[in-house]
Amino acid sequence: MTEVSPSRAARKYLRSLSLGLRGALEYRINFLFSLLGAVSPVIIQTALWTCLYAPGPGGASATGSADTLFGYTYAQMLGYTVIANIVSRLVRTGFEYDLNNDIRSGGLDRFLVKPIDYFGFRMAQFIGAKSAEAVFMGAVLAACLAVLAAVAGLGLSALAVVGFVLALALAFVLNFLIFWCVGLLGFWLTEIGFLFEAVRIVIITASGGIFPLSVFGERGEAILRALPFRFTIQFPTEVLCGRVAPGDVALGLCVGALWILPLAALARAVWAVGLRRFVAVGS
Amino acid sequence: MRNALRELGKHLRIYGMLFRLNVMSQMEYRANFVTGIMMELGYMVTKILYIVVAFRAGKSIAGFGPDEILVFVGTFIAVTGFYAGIIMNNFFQLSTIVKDGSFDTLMTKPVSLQFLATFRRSDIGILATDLLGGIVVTAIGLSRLGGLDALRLAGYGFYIACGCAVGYAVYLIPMTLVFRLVNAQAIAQVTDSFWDFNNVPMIVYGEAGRAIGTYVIPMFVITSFPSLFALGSMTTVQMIWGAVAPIVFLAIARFAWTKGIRNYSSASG
Amino acid sequence: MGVIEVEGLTRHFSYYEKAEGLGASLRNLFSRKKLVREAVRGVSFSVERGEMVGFLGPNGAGKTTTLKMLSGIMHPTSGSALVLGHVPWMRRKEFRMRISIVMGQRSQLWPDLPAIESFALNREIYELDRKKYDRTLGEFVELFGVADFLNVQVRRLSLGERMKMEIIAALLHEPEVLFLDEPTIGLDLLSQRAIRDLIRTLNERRGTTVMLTSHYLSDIEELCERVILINNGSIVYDGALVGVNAALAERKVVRLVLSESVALGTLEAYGGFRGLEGATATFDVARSTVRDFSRRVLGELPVADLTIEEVPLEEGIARLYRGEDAGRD
Repeated sequence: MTEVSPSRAARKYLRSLSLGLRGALEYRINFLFSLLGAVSPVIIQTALWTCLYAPGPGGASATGSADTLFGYTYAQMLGYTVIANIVSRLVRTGFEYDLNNDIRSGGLDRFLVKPIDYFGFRMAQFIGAKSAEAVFMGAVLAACLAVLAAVAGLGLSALAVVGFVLALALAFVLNFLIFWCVGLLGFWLTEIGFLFEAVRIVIITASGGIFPLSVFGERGEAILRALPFRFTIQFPTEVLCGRVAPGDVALGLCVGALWILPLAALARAVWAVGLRRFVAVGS
Repeated sequence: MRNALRELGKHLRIYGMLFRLNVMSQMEYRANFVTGIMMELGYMVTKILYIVVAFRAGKSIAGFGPDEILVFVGTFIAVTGFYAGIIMNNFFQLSTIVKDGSFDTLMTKPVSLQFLATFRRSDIGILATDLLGGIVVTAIGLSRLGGLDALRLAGYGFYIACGCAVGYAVYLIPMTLVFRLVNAQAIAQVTDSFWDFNNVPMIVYGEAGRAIGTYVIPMFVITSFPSLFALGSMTTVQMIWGAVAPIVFLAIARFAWTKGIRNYSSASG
Repeated sequence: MGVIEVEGLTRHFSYYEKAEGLGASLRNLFSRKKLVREAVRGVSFSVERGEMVGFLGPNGAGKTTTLKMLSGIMHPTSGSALVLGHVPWMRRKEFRMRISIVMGQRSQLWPDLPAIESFALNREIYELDRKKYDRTLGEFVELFGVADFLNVQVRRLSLGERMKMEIIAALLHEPEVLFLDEPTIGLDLLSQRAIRDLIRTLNERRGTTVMLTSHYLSDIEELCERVILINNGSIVYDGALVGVNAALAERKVVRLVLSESVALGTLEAYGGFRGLEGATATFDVARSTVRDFSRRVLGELPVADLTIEEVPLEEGIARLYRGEDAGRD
């Protein structure tokens, strides 16, 4: 392999990043729709929680419990619902379909020949596209937070914002690794069909993207907290909502970051095994 | 009139053939069949999760007890079988077949283009999973409530049919934008998210929400109405609207479709 | 009154300027420029029943667009057309029952099922009488020799076999007018020949009117007596295929195989020198001067072999595209 100067290598990945950005800009309508897709779940869940937290025969107060459910007050639950749905859209991947396509169509060959690492290429493209999205989503998020502050009295601290940004970066990396592994299934399964969708719903649920993990009960929550998924949605959301103490934010970031190692190792192993099979057998 | 009936018969026969061809196709290349079942099971879990969460939190949802909720959710799941198994993938594929030219071929066939474009594909795995799950859940709920007499069952079936017709029309209308926009896949994904409004009984949404969801974007007519009828909680206004809405919205959908086709054949390449 | 009557058919496409580079993409977020492409400009022609017409032109010339308008898929921007007495873009059921279109790169067959199933679907769609359908199908299957493949999944068939099935599917309802858009593209020679034979047989036996677009001159040469050349949306030539050559300057190609190497300058001095490949020199010579030319070179150059050929059809048509007149050098 020929020697490549670091600046040259950097420029390659920068170009992929720029490509990701441009692709994202061009599909500006897609952004709008991606955001609109979050509207329904927020409305449905908000309506449900409003009903459940309401005083009276139907609501939680009837059961005599405090005005918290699953560890959240009404205001906190609303905040969680709105933010978790936005974060869920923000960290969402899509490249696993392209990855699978490249494996299926044999287009992967094209990349294997080029002096650019396929993983690096996909990662750079992902980060590029997400950065563009993050700007738009960030604006939306800020607006939502302002509304929530006014309506539900939800506070926001500078630490929370900083912690959120870090947690979000972590979420991007973890989600990328997770769905990279999912996408690699294409090396073995010739028939994918709706598989990615099936996997995605389960992962989102396990990440706290629909309801906070405490709804699964003590046992359920304990199991799910032991998995890396909560760092893609629940953790950043909780940090932004100010539900995590500063010390715990740092702790959480470390634990989350630790998950990168086994996931990256898994990604590498699966890639190596899959690639061997791909090169030997073809797509 | 006789012509219209003959055409209807022809389209029904062709639908039968299309359904059969889809089943055979999916038995041959089982990706969509198997993973479709997996996908619907995943969604079913989240649907039921809503209800479990609601009941862990309180004793009833806006006055409806667990058994009634089973009827709501079960009906919702079963009708989702119609949506996801019969029409959804046609809508998701629409922009693809427009782009690759298969749509052009459909245009030259002496059969209703709208029919071909919206009913050509059916996913038996998805349909069967949802129908089975939905029927079981509804049956459990209904039996615990004392069952249904023949007349009420017939009415329930009637309103389900009306609901499906409204669902078809309401989902077709935004899809006609595929002829104008580059990325109609995104439209399909957004409207798809609307389907879940029926996951909880309509009463949860408050007055304004209920009105919008009944008359403007009639989501609730699709699955809430049949459930309300089965539970004997349907108002007269609802009963009338439930039967009229399909006609109104199918007409609007037909208009949107023909306008969209006109746009497609005249508009930019 | 011809089966196909086209008068001043025009079709414009409007589109948005695509951006190059990140800066332009950002600008495009706010305002985009709208451009117009004239794909078909005032095309007029008439086709009689039973004619086989070849529609020839480079990519983007307007062939496929014209075909789409004649089959009802597209509305024209202006102009008129009648096919079998119908306005195609009204898409009347009666019209759709009597025509058929086959588009080379696209399939109407179900890939995971045997072709026979797709045929049965067409039988219902075109309301064919069962007995007649069986007879017609049998006839086509025999003509194409695909009896063994009827029950094989379409995606397992070779490209040639698949195309044959496509064509059978398109012909089962015995259309009076058949539109073919690049039907033999990507096929091997044997399949191309088989398909051409079937189309010719169809035309002979049933008087099917055929409009065929192709890049392959062999399709046009072997099937069509009449060719319509289209370039940049306008008709450049409409007439007998043999006339294409007649429309050009009557020129010949003279090839010399040289026994010794000759300086390029010497060869160029003869005029009409086109190139030297190895030991073969090619000259483009006017028909009237071929004899004198040949005598000269045989006397003055070390010629081992001399051949005189017609200008190849591709070359002739290419010249017509470029608008070269008869008599030019």
